Amino acid sequence: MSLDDIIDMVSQAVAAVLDTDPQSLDRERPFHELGIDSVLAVGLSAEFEDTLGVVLDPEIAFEHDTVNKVSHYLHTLVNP
Amino acid sequence: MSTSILNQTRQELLGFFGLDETITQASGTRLTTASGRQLIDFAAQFGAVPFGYQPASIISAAKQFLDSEQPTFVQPLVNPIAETLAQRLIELAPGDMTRATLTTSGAETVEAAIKLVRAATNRTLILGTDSGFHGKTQGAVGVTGDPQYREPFHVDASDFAHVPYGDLPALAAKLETRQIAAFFVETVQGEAGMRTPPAQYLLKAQELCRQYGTLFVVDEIQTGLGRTGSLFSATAEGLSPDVLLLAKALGGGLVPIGACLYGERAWNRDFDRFHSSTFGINGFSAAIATAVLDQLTADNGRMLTAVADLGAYLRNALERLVERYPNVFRGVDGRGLMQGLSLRNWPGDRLYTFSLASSLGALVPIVCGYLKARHGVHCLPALNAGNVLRIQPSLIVTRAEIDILIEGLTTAAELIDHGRQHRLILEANDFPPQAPGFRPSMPPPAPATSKRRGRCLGRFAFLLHPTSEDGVNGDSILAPLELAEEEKDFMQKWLRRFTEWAKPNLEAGVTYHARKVFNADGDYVEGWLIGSLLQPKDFMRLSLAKRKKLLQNYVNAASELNIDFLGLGAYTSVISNAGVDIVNDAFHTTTGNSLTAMVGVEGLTSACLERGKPLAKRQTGVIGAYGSVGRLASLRLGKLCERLVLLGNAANRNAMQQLSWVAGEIYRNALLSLQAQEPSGIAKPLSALVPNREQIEQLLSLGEDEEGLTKLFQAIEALAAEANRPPPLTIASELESWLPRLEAILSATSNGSAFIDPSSLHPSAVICDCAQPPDIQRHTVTQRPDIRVVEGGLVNLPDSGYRFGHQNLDDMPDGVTYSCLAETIVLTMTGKRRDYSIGKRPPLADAEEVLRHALALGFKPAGAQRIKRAG
Ligand SMILES: Cc1ncc(COP(=O)(O)O)c(C=O)c1O
Repeated sequence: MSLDDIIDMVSQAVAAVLDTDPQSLDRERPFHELGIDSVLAVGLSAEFEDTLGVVLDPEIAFEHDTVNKVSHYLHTLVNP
Repeated sequence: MSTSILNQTRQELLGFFGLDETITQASGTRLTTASGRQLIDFAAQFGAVPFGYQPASIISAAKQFLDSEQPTFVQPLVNPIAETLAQRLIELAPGDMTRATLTTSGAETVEAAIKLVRAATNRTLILGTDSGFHGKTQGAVGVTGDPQYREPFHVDASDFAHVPYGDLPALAAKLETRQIAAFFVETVQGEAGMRTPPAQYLLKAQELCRQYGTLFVVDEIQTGLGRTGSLFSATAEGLSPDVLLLAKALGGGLVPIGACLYGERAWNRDFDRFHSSTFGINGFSAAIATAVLDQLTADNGRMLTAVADLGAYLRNALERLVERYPNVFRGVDGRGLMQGLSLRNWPGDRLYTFSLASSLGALVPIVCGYLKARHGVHCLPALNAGNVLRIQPSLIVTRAEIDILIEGLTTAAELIDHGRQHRLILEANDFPPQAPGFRPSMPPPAPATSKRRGRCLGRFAFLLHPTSEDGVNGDSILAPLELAEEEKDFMQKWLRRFTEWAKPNLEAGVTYHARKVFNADGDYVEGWLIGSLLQPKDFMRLSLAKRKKLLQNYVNAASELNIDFLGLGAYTSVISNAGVDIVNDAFHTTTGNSLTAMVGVEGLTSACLERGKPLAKRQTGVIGAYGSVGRLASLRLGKLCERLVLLGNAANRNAMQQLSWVAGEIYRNALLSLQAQEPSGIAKPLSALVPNREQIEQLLSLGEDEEGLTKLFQAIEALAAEANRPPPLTIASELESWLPRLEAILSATSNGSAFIDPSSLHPSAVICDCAQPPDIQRHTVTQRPDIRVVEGGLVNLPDSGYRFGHQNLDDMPDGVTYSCLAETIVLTMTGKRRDYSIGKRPPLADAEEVLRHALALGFKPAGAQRIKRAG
């Protein structure tokens, strides 16, 4: 998966839990400022696991806390 | 069977209930399935098949038309057959009808009427009833009451309003505004469960409409043309509507046709000029519709008299059924050959999911599946009344056929009455019935008619959900059903599929009615468990809007019960900001976190004592110390322990800050106890760092807001460094380095899975796990026999044998329950009149108060009981 594809996938997942449009997401804004709480963050990690078929720490969305950061991290993970 | 191209979702739904059939032939009242089975049709396509399939009179009218060279579509020129039909209709209809508009469906007839009445009155607002059904097209769906048919489609219904059916004052209030163009009403509400109005309602409604210049529109799309035993139900009611709507039966079961009939009051030239539809005036359909009217009016309406007789026969049989099985059936409503048999919700005594199925509208489909498979009878639920079985055969049904239906309903009622609902599901899916004379070894649990005669102290509801799939279909959950191996496999799969299917609806409903939960004095509270089918992993993936909807559905289910207290179990607390999003004026709310935390500390304390070294002298740690439960437990432990570590999650960027607030709170409490000269726990080592009064006062003056608490924490850190002593409290996030050093641990995260590795624990450590699902791995007990694990989240009820149904929440032992549920019960029993344990920082004093009340009422920490569950 290319980085762009991953950014798209992550934006869609984040937008879906926030009920917003993926295009209008600020990819540099920390998740907690977007309104993602710890439960949603853990849910996101599970969602990424399902889409990418990898095992992730439930807390990755805390550690890599923007769309861009988490996308880059996932990208290095699936394209080692 | 292949997937339907026309409607996959509906086919899946039918599949769950064993109703997924392909009909290859139909004749009279009989449907023939692809597998060659014959079914007696008691649905008649919602009333659109009045004379059965292939009725001779209609077939011959069709053939005659085809042979006649009469025109089908010749608009805008005059079509004589259609004109004749219109003439017949206005002559037969009640009221001063002078004109008609022909359509191709019920909904389109409603659409036409909406435009007609708006143009006629020059008013926009259309009034319908909350439970009314008038179709699903863009305008008709606005008249229809239930918003679920509009919301997904972004249909704006601001030009429509709704009042409760049967409520004249509500109607009058709307009409008085003189802004309502028309009031649309059914004489019997078909899709609402064959609901009849109170006596005189319709006449009075008509009168009110006349008084306020509102047109009175009677929708007889379902009731009209013989269904109720008269040609028009409005005639039988003595009504003279301004507009009358027909469809369904008008097509004789062969063609789609509707008619909107009206008089001069509604007629207007704009409508004539600007409303039309290519297929609206159709010679073929008109010929069929005329044949329908011929048949219904032949021999002075002999057929109508027969329908009235059959209707009375059916009604009488249904009423006897309701009398015989009052626990199964709530009642029967309807008129003529449109009858609705209303079923009572199934209790959750054996299986919570069966009770929930009632809220999810699954109960009638289950019965229909059984009737089809076992008795060859095809019935359907009413669209908008989950628990109403619609009985709506074609008008040529016979008494013998009705007898077969009644026999099927009787055997179904026997099974339900004996708590054997699952047999309906099994038999709908071709499992053989049990041998006659089969007696279950486990009779249904008798309703709790305790001889004790205490007072009812209040009512509560408690929100919960399965914590794993086992909670829905696990072996122990299914045990009381006494299933053969194959049957069990099937039920497990069925429950899983049903759950998966039902989850997206985010429905919640009563799963168990706890009639009497006693305290030690013999007084009791009444309560309800309210469940959904979502599991923790589903909760985590809900979008914010779906969270809100789910919580609303939970709260709605609770609101109907007239409760004093609502308790939030498991993730309902997590997704509601620890109750903040739920708190309201209708009842008091608690997350139950207070008792969970206090009982956890009690459990830890007594386990430490049993192990010969008191808690005060142990290096103690709290994992998840800034969560609602962890924080309260830490505050309490601060009064007991002399060395305490507060642990947080390194991944949480604010962990250290939040931990320092909790530490500040503990220090503050300790300073207050020093001031009162009653030092205990953390206050003891603290007194060495803060020897004099002025210093205490100065530190207290930092305040108790978050900033003050952080400063207090830092000040004491500095004092300890200065004195070259370890500070009494440590905040940390390095779990791995701390675990081997902790002699007592209280864990309270909402991690969702076990993460504490037993091999890393201190020798002979005592650990209290307050988390649900647990934080400690399954094999702790076998792997580390030196470790003592107590479950923090559980208490013993005063009534040691009590169970919340067979399932008892998560398959708990007798008399054991969750602390958060216990807190709800305690607060209800003590008649508290405010919210408790809400939000991130509820007061410790409240928590201690709840614990005192709980102990006084006879509740006890159940720590050691359920070690096996840790994992
Ligand atoms: C009273 C009433 N009005 C309108 C309709 C809508 O008719 P159709 O399904 O043909 O659009 C129905 C259908 O059930 C109905 O019962």
